[in-house]
This record gives sequence, structure tokens and C-alpha cells, in this order.
Amino acid sequence: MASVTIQNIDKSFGTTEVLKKVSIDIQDGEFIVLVGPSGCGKSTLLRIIAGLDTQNSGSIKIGDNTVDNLHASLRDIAMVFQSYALYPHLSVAENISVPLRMRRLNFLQRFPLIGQFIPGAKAAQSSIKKDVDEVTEMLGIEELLNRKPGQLSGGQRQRVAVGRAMVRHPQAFLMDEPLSNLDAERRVHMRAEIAELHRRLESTFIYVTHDQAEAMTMADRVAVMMDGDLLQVDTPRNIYANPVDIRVAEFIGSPKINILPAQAGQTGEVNIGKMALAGVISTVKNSEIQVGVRPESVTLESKDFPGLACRIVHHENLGSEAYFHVELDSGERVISRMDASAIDQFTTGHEASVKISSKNVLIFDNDGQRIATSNEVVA
Amino acid sequence: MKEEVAATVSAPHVNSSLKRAENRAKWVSYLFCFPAVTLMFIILLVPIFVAAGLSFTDYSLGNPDMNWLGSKNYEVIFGRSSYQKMIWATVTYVVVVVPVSIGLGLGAAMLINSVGRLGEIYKTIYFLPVMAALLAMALVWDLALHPTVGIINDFLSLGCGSGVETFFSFGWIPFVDGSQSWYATSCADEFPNWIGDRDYTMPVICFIGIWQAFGFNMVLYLAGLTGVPRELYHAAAIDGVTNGWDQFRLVTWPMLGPTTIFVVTITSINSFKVFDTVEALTWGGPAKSTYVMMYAIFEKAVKENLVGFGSAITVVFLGFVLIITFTQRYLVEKRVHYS
Repeated sequence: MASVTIQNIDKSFGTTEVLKKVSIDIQDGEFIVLVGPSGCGKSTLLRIIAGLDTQNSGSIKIGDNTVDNLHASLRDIAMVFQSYALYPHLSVAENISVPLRMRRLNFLQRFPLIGQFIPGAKAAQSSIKKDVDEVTEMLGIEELLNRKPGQLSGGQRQRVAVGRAMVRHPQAFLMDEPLSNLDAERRVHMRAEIAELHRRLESTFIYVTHDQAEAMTMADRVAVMMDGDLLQVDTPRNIYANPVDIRVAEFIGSPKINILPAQAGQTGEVNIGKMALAGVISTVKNSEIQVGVRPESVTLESKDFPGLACRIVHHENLGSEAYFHVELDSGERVISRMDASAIDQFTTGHEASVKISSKNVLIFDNDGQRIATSNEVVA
Repeated sequence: MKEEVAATVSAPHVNSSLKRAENRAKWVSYLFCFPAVTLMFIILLVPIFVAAGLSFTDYSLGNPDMNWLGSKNYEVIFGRSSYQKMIWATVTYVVVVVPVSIGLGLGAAMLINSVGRLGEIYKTIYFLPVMAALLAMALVWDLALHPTVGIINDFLSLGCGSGVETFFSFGWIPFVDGSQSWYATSCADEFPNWIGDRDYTMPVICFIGIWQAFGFNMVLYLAGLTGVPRELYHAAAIDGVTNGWDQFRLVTWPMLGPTTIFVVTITSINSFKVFDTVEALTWGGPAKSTYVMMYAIFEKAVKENLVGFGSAITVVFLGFVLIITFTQRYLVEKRVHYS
């Protein structure tokens, strides 16, 4: 168990900059999720931490040790790969024992056939077996021990890969989209299982995903990356409620946040078209700005309500709630998320009026930077 | 269970029309197979049966009649010393050429895989012998190996009397008498008659076989190496693999299993069929030391028109190839299919 410190990591492949001065302090025992669209550099960062790639500049510390010049095998970390990367010719038990065999048996003891006759091999073998049994019991895969990876389902392979990572109690676990090869149902299940595993092991987890739902549900802290920049590192709650950048606001949350053009007036009052947002005072005055409002803060009212006039173009019933896609008179599309009972009143094709609850409104300047409003302070 | 089945089966007329459609589909599938099966039967199986039949006779081309000899041809093959030499020569060739050309092919493939751009040049050089006609290459080797005017002996004699001779006489190693070494005695006397001296002919034929086969094996292994997932190497690195040998043992070699089985089979069968070099260089001699099976078949059945006897050697030859093929099938199913 150890903290991981990432300092000013730069990485380019040829002329493309993949990582630009990325720094994160990861606490001992923390579950941190690196999230971002594909190509944002999150997997590269993970591979640099693992020692499978080398940074152009910057430094990685695991615990108190700077590991920049250490081979991957000496960094004392474990990794779970997207494809699981199990050795297809080895049984489940052999796969899980590989990290221990490489460390506890010397070159001669590992040698085929004669290895078992080298002094010390027997004792080491039995200690390896004991540790492997412990891990497989914990993961509930005892009955799979003699099977080959090819005979396992996706979820079972995933567990074996986790077992291989766990077996030698590494300083930190690195996970590279470990759930992306599973079907949707299994993924939701494994999400909870991995989070539970983290609580039980109390170890540091660094988890890479492009799925914001995984990030929000599992992480202690979420690190949002885009185009090689680290935009924000914060708790899931803060990332959602208090994003510092419009790209973070847009990436996190489903359905996506609504962004509307607006104007900040002389005193900082905010107007979307002709509608004033009561109670929102911008610290930037006299400027074109953007208003971000989450779908749950947008409600539909009957068309004589003094809000933004709109027409419902599509509605989706999810059972407990419903999404309404509406088109404003000014041409923008807005999504509203309401209780499913609202379908009785609003259906596709109807005219309506949009009401925005100003309590949860976020405002951004035209470069996408968050603008503070007078009654709050941006992190 | 039976009641359930009965319940789900629909009315009798639907059932019978379904059956008719099924029968028709069956007939159509036989019809589609027919041309291929017929051709295979005529050009592959029938000749084998004919050869097997002739191998029990003294048939020769142009003779109006033939006599049934029973197993006499086979008794000669396994009993007479010149044919025991034939089997011995063939097996020696296979046992030397297969492992060496596969080992070199794998080694070259892994080296080329790790050097990047420069690899293309090596790839071309090593593959050249595969593209060239072996018979033509054998003639080139014939000239190069000539005892007096050949480039090889010329080259070797350049080193005589210099430091090269001292080094390769190994007299500098303690307890080794340099003057008795191969290089020193050859310098003092003469360099060998590579294709006329029975001590050297088989090694020379094997050497040319390896030179020719290993480029092909290298290309097959290069293809196999591209199929090894990179993530497995990364997983191995994280699991604590630091040296090349462990990486080879844990990832490369097992992942090349299917390729290896294929390469071993192809190389073994090709080695059993060695003919061109023997025909061009040694004609099976001296003293039958390079009298391989393919050459024996050619000599008996074609040159001497002893078709019956040639057929018997062919059947023995087929037996060897079949053993290899079945071993390969067995191994493929047992060991190297991971999924």
C-alpha cells in the first residue's frame, strides 16, 4: 500500500503531445479513476506509471521511491489489462501463480523438469500454492483452478486477471478499462465487486475508463482528462455539481448537461434570450457567456408559463423518470428530466415552456472557463 | 421427455414436407461435393492404391506381363544393406535438417523482429535461397565445393600459415594439440573433397538443406510472432519477467506453438522429399552415403524401369510421411489449441 505521486508528466509520440504536464497526488488507499474520451492520454499515463512506457519529462513516485528508472517488474505494482492478458497455455492456478513464481523461485528452480529438484524449490512451491488458494477462495473461483482461460467466460477471465494482480499484495493496482469487454449487465455487477474489493484490500487503485458512470460510481476521486490535459481532480459529487471547465461539465452526467448562450448584464444579471435567471449574479459583467444547466434542473410547464417557449420533439420513458427533448424557439435543443408522470401532460409534438431552476445553474465564459457567481466560490 | 417431443411435433403433412426439404438439401450437398471427391479419388487415392498393388509385383513399364512377388520387394528394402543405408541416410537428413533449420529460423525471426528497419534487409537475404530453384542452387554449390578450383577450399587455404590457422587449430586451449586439429592437418595436407569423400557428403547435403529451408521457417515464424499479443509481454513484465529467456519461456514459445507444429510438419515432409541436391551433387554416393529415398525411387522406377520395386519404396516413404502427419494431428489437438 502506498501513495502515488505524478509530477509534471510530459509525453509525446512524434509531434503529437499526448500528455501535457500532468500532476496528480494519489493518496495511500485511494480509489482514483482517470476518465476521459478515447485518445485523451489516460491509458498512456497509466502505462507510464506501470513502467511500460517512458515519459519525456516529469517524475513518478510510488510511496517514497522515485521509480522513473525502474523496470516495470521492480515497481511493485499490479495491472489488470483490458484484454485481461492471461497466458492462454496456462491453467487458472498457473496464471495466478506466475507473479509469485517469478519472484520466489530463482532461475534454476523455475527451469522445466529439473527445477523441482533444486534445493528450496519445494518449500517455495508450497508457499506459492497457499497464497494462490487464498486468493482464489477470496474471489470464489476455486472450481476453475484447472481450466484454461479459453474455457472461461468473460467475467471469469476478469476475475482471474484480478486474482493474478492481487496475489502478491502490490503497492498499487492499475486497471486499464477492465470492464469494457463485458456485457452491460455483467459490467454493473463487476463495478460493485471491484469497489468492494478495494474496500477489503485497502490498497491504492488507479483505474482508467472512458465510461463516466464507472468513474462516478466507483471512485473516491475522479480525474477528468481531455486532449492530454488534466482538467479537474475531485470527488464524484464535486465533479458533477461544481465542474471548473465546460468540457468537464459536458463529459460527466447522462443525459448531457444543456449549454445555452446567454448575456451577463451591467450588474451581472444573467439573461437567456429574454428570460432573466433570477438570483444568478455573474462576477463577469457585460459579456456573452454560456449557461450550463443539468437536465434535472430543467422542467417543462404549460405553454402560457413565462419561460422559454419550446416544442417537444421527442420523449423517452424510462419507467421511473422520463427525458424530454425540446427545441427552443431560438433553435437550441434542451433535455429535461422529470418524473415519468409528466408524460400525461407533455408528449412529443406538444408546445410547452421551459423553466430553469436557477439554484443549480453553472455559468462559463466563451472559452469554457467557469465563472463564479456572487453567492458561490469556484474551487 | 418423449411426450414433450411428441407434443411439439406439428401435424403430419407439415412434418413430411419438412422431411422432403431436408432430404433434398442432403442430396444437393452430395452433388456439390461430387466433383471434388471424384478428382481427389482419381488423382490422389487411385495412384496410391495402384502403387501399393504394384509394390507386390516385378512390374516394369513396357513389359506385357508381371509376376506376383508377395512381400519380396519389402524384404529386400528392409533386409539388404544398401536399402538400410537408404533409410539411414534419409532419417539422418531429416533428423539434422529439421531441428537445425527450425532453430535457426526461430532465432533469425526473433532477431529480425527486434531490430526494426534493418530487419527488412536480413529478411530478404535469408529468404533468397527459398525463392531460388534448388536445382540451380545445387549446381552453384557444386562449383563452390569443387576440391581444387572451388571457392570454399580457396577461401579456407587463405588462412593457412597465418594467425587464422593458429586460432582455428585451437592449440591455444590447454591440453589441445593444435597440430592434430582439422584445420592444421588440412593445411598441411589438403582441404577435403566435400562431395567425393563419404565423411563429408552427408553433412554437406544437410548444410545445403538447412541453408535452403531456414529462410522459409524464418518467414513462417515472423508471421507467427506478429500474432503474439503485445499485452502479454506487458503482463509478463509486470509479473516480474526481467530477462529474455523467461519472456521466451512464458510468452513467445507457447504462443508460437501452433506455428511450430506447422513448421515441423512442413519441414519434415520437405526433408523426406530431398532430391534436387542429391541428384545434382552426389547421385546418392559415395558408397550410398547420400542415397535418400526420393533418389532411390527415381533411380529404381525411372532410370532402371523397376516400377514394382520403386513402388515398394514409395509405399515405405508414404508410411513415414503418414506417421509425421498423424503425430502432428495428435499434437495439434492435444497441446497447442488454447481456446
